[in-house]
Amino acid sequence: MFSNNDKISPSQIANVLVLMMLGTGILTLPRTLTEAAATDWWIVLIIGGLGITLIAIAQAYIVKSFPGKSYMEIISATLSKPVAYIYIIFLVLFLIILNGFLVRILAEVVKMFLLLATPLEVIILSLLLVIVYLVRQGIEALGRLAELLLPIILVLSLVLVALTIGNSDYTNLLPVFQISFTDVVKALPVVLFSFLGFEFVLIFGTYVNKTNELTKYTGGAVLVILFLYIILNLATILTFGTVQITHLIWPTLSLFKTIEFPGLFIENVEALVMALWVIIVFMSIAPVLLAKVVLLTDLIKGKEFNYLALPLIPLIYFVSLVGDNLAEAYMLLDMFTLYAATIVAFIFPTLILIAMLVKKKLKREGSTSE
Amino acid sequence: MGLWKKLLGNKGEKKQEEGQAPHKSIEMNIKTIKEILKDCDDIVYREVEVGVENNVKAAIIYTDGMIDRNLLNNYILNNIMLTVRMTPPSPEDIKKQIASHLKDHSLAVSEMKEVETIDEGVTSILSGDTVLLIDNYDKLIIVASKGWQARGVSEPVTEIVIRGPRDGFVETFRVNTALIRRRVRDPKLKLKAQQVGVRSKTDMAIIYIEDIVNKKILKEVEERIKTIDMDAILDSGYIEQLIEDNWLSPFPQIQNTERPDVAVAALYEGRIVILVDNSPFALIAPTTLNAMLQSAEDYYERWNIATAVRLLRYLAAIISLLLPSLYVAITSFHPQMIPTKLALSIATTRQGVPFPAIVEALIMETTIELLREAGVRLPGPIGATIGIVGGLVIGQAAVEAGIVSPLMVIVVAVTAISSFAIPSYNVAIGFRLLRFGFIFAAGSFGLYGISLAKLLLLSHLCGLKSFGMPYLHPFVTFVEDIGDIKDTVIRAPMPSMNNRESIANKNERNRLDDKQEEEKYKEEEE
Amino acid sequence: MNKKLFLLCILITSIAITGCWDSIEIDDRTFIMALGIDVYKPTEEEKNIEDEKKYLPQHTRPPVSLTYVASKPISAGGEVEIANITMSSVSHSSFTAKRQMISRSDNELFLGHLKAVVLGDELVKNPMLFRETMDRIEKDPLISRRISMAVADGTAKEALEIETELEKNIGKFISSLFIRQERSNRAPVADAGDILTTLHKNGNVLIPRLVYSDKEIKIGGAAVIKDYKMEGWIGEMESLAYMIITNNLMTTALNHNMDDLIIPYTLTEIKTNIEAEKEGDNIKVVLSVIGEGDIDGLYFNPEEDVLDPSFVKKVQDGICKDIQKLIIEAIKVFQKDYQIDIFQFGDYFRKYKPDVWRDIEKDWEEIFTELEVVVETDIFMRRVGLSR
Repeated sequence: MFSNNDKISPSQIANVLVLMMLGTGILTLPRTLTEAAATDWWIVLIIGGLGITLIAIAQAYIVKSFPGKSYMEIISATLSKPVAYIYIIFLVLFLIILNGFLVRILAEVVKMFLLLATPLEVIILSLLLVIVYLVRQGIEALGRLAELLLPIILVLSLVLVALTIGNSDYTNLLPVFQISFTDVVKALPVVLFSFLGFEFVLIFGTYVNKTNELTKYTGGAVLVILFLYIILNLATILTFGTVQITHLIWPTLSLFKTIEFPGLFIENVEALVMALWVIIVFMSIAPVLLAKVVLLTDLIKGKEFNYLALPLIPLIYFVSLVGDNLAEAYMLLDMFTLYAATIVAFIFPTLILIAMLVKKKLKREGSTSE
Repeated sequence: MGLWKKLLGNKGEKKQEEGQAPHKSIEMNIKTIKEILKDCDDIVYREVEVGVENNVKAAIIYTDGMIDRNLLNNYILNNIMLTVRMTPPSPEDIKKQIASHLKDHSLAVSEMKEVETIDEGVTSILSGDTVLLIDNYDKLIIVASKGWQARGVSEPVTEIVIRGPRDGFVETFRVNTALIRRRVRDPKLKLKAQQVGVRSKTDMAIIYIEDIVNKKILKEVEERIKTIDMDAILDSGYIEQLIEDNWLSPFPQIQNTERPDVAVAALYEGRIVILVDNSPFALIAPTTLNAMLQSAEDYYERWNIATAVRLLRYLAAIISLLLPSLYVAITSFHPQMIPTKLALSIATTRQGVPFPAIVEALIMETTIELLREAGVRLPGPIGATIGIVGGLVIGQAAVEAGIVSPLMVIVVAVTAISSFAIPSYNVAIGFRLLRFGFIFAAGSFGLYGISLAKLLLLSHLCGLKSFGMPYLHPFVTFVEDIGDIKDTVIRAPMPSMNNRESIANKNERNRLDDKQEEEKYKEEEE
Repeated sequence: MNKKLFLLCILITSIAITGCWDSIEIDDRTFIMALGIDVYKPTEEEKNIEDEKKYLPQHTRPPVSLTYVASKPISAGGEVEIANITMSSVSHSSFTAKRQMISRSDNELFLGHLKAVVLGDELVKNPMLFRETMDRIEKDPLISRRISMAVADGTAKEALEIETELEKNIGKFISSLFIRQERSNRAPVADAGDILTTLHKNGNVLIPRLVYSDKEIKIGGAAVIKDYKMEGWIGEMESLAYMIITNNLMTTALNHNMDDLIIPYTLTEIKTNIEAEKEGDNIKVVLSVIGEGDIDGLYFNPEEDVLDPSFVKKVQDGICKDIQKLIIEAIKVFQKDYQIDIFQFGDYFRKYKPDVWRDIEKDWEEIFTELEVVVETDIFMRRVGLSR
């Protein structure tokens, strides 16, 4: 058949990034953010969001400077080949674990809200198989799916949020400006981690067809997420107030439990919200698997990556079952993001950027001296 | 007629090397042809003697029933046998060059050509043309005399519109090309004809407007058609399935239409139309799911009404895909979703139904599919009857027998009606098939299953392409091709649809070229 | 291609052969409409059953008794009717009671359509049992946050066993009572979500009271919960005042006694603004109540002219005084009798005067009891009906 599954547009990658970030932060952010900053959550969120925008743009700039080069080639060019090999192996492991945790949390929520008696394993496996199907369709299909789903998800979530306005109490936003500077700094990591996912621009950047527009779209993606997070947090806090949010494991889902459609065909929307939410999280898990497959293909210098998707499934499956209960899974995930994600999303890309700039400067100096 | 040359040029050239050249002697040629067409009793051989002294032998060979006898008698035989004697120049000259004289001066037919192999001649005979053999002339003269009993142009059966042209494609290739040409009086409209099928040698044409069409897609279509290696092409459906991107998919990746206006609209959008002889269905490539959910009428009615109808149609597509599975998911998994009163009334109606909701849904869905299939196969009036009998009587009886609940009957009926509202029959079949998958998914995992099935379907659709064009265009390139949204779920007002979709050649995106000219005009007037 | 086919096969078979764990047909579910939770008090007979005793673990806490009111379609001789069933079960925890109940029911007990939870007053007086119950309601993914809650003046079991003449389905009846409450307002309107939110703040809340007789059920007044423990009841007028102060009142009908006349009127709109001031050590809360309404009637051929502005003004002033008195009395009840800040004045300080709040937060309970509350009312009578 005629397939050239290798190029996506910058807007498509922006959509992929938005969905990835949304999937990681949407569930718990209102709780963690309120715990950290109470009613001044929005200050922290905006500062953190804008900070992430800059970081994401910087990472997109790295990709832009090496058009068409894969992540591994970029590292090889900036930080030498052995580093590239080691780091990519580390990254693949990181992604397997991340994937496992994301799948686990999805499955736990589904089990809690929709399928109380269905074994967790079945929920996980059925999800993974669908993801494999998508990943085998290649990055192009993923990009298109993201671009198709995001507008729908945005509109539906905004409608749902609008429906909660009836229960809201505007005084829940008060008092403002109570937070000290050190508290802001302390609360920032919470925000930063809820934006995780933007760093995948480094991995998928090689597939973008108009690289020069990449920085613009990546920044835009983070801003869209920032906007969404502000809206969602606003709705949750208006409804619950800062005190009760801290008692809810998944405030966003509880928020939608308060929606009422009296006299309509659908009375309770929570099952519907769950169905929507499954789609969001699916779109944040699938790119992780694809990223892994892409990186592995680079590592073994393979040509086709389709066949690598299925063998990874058992690995992810076993990782997803680590942690005897939800509490432990969450604790492991927190620890994991704290250390590993910091390296992957912040430290290592910064190293690349520095190395790149230094090399550029050396080159320029070299050329001028000659 | 350049077309003729092309028609036989493509395949003919190849044959020329292999094919047998005609002999000088007419007897030998007739013998050879008779040999090839042995036991073909519908071939007529008419041998005549022409010339001033009736001393030159000639023969006319044609297939009975496929030619225009009127033309043969009045303009070929008449001319060969009679007129040729009355015309100057002198008989002596004619004697020597009787063949060229016949060809150039006598035969009052509009279309004629010569071929140099017997095989080509045979193909022409079988295509409905007349072969003229002349003694001492080593070429075959082929006179276009196609004319057979054909169905007249009538209203298309599958794509009925309230407002819009009533003509539809017929089985005759030439009539169909004429129907298209009548709507595009532009020299840029190209009809590239060729024959496909090793045995059937079916005429087909790739039709496009040269400067609008996307060259890449055109090349792709041409290449794929070249790869066709089949003994016979009986309908455009053969070609559709032989050149589509993914034959595993339940979705058609090439659109078909019976309406010339739809085909021409596609041409103006930069798509490619493939016409096949003996099939009233033209193929349109590339296509999108969006295009399949449109009807010709959308463009003839005012935009706000067309938009409303399109919204309804998209809703119908979703209902026909999801409704039974939602019923299963809600009744067996999530009764908390629906209002208490409704839940209780469903529970009441389901009281005594021995099957789980999924079995109930499968029974009713299978029944309705059976009814539909039976209705299609049965002759017209009975078909309609079976629909009513099946729908009303069986539904009612099943409810009274306690096999299914009344709500299930409503669900199935609404689903069936919705699937009729989808304009493209082949897309509707796809949805019907997938509906069963959704019912199974809902029966196993409830709404979660439906979500997964939806994602699976969307993943498939997003990976699907029609000749390099994303199947879900423009929804999947929302940001880039935002202009294309004007003709999707909504149908923008006519004056604002001034750009072609992004399928078209980039330089020819603007539809209202004359606008600029008009402005020039105005300036000149001033 | 073969691989794709293979994958598809795996997927289809896995879906087809697995699944259905959660599938319970809608007619196999018993919809629980109302749930009553009481402290279990064994009757003399039950106490003597030795067999039962050894299954009951000895615990310092009394067991709870759960009463379920369920709706279930039952076919009786061809006709399908929706029957209302009341079932009870005793357990040490309201979490396990449902499991016990299942063993006695042919159907799955389904809480997704729960409309009302009624708590017995004994239970609410036991903080641990009360907290456990509230936790159960908050944790359960099926139970909506919008269900109605009430404390029965007596036991929930008795209240739920009453067959009202208006509506057989008691769960629906109770929840509709609450919806209509918005128009009459004799009890604080709150769904489980609101009650949970308020409880999370400091453990104080008002839960509507459910009063029952042989044939009737009525919502009026409220149970006062302080530190997860019921302290007592408040009456209907205090509830009304509470609704006015917390801006939850939609509309209400009252009587005003003027001279010898009883003038019924309807408040169609009423709004309370809270202002707080701190001057030195003196903390003052000013409530300004602004509202409007209609005079419903006077008497036939009255001597007074209802279109006379001075008469209307007189009535208005009287009504203002009534409302002012109502509110001040109610606040006093909470300041003196219960000593809990049910009106969330503290919340006001926290939100609008965070600096002041920081100072007074610790001693707020004491400060509240001594708080000076000024009530200003401004109520306009807009319409007077058809006759003059």
